[in-house]
Amino acid sequence: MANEILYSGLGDLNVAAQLGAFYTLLLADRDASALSHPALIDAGVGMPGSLVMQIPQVGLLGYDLMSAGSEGSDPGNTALTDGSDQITLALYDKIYEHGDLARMTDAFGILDPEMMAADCAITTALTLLDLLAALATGFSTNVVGSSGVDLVVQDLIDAQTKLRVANVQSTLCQILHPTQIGDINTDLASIGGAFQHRPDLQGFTRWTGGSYMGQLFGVDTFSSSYCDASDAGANVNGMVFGRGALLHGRGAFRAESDPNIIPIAVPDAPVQARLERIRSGRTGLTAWAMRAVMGVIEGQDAAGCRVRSDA
Amino acid sequence: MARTKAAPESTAATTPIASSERRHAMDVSAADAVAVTPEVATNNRADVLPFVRTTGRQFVYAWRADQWLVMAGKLVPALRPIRLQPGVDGVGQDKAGRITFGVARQKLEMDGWNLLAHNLGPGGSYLRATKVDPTGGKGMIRTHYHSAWETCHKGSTTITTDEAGYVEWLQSLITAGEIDPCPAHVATKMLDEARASLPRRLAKHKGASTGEDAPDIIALRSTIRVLSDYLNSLSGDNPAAASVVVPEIPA
Repeated sequence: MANEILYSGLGDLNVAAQLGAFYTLLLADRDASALSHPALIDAGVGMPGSLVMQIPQVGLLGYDLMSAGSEGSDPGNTALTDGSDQITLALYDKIYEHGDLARMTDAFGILDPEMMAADCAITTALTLLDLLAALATGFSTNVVGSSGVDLVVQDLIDAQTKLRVANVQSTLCQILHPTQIGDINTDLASIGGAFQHRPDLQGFTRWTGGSYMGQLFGVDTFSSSYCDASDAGANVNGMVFGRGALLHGRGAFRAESDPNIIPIAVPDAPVQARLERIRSGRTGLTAWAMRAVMGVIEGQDAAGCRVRSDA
Repeated sequence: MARTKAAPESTAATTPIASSERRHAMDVSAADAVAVTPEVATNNRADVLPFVRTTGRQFVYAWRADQWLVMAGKLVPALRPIRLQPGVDGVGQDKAGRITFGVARQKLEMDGWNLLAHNLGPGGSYLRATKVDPTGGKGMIRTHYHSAWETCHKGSTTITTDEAGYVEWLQSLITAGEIDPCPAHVATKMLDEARASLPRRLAKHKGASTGEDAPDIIALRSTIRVLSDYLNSLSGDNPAAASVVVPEIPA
């Protein structure tokens, strides 16, 4: 037979591919909910005059105990112990630029201002979380875990003990690498008994997605891919910390009477970002500039604990 | 009227085959097989970059007198990789985009950390840069910074580590005097903690015959052995001077 009408021959009547009804997001760590934990200290907004914020540390309210005195004698002065942390703020930015034809043929609203604003907010939060995760390797007073060995629940108990000995009395937070979360899951599965069925551990023993895993012995636990490796990549580093260990500060953009400049509220963290639409009519290009000013610092070393384990 | 199909004329191609000949005709001998390489549209895998997803940043190593670990059977300093990233722990950036490190260096030195110059590493620096494609071959090229002992692999997300080489380098730094040897009190504390954790870890294995073969038990026993040998090799500690005090207590 001849002249059959086949799909392969209908080049003028069909298209090579057509868009589906939805799009998927490429895999990335998009959850920065750890930023809202009270163990993290928001040092506030940097004031005009400097990009360095100085946060005082004071040894009062029980830091120095009284000594036995004697009637009629002068006990002498007790020195006030103090210190300070300095947060250096830095500018972070990102720009997406598209042409008019790209905007015209955008089928999913990927280049819409709303999408750019959402990306700005989420990206700012994740960038701050990334900066904080870098501080885990700086804790030197308290370190748990062994090189080349998987993390176990006992290591996290040891971390809590070290922090308790250091007089950390606030709520604790732990941010662990996904590999370490997997190690803890494995360890919990092997412990057995009623331990696995505790409600506060269900985040560990059941896949839930997101970064919040639940509480382990009362400590809120988050998973983050931004935790750094160390020892030539052989180990990964999470951290357990109380209030005073990590501080973050931010810069505040001045208000502009410009409809193309949009202040962005960042979820989970009091960091202000700015989205600016920059139009170049001659080239037909529209740029979306995202900016935020932030900085982090390790405060009191003894208020945190490095958690090291096999990568 | 029914049609009958005439029998085909007997030709060389259609001559009925005798049973013995039929058997040979059904065999496909090696001489008849032809090698075929199918042509498919694909990337040239030899040109792809590593598909490493998380791109590391430039860093500088620092060591501290009380930070040690046992790695590959050796007691070595636990170096801290300090990100050279503006906004992190005092690292800044000037208007030319260069890293400013003064505030960070001051804080580090006050906290007892000692920076290791990059040129102490092999090949001129312990920092390496590798071009990677996190999108898995779609052409989004980034730079991944890593240590000299980590290797990225083309077309793979795997990063391998040369632990023995890294440990050897660390030991060379101690021998060369760039890093002070581990103080006895630090090794003693590490040994005490390792010995205390051994029974707990053995109990986790519930005395199973495979308990001693468990990786964590093997690593822990190695740690204990290495630290014990190290302490036995030391001639003494370096304690702080302490004066003798005898309080006066009235009779």
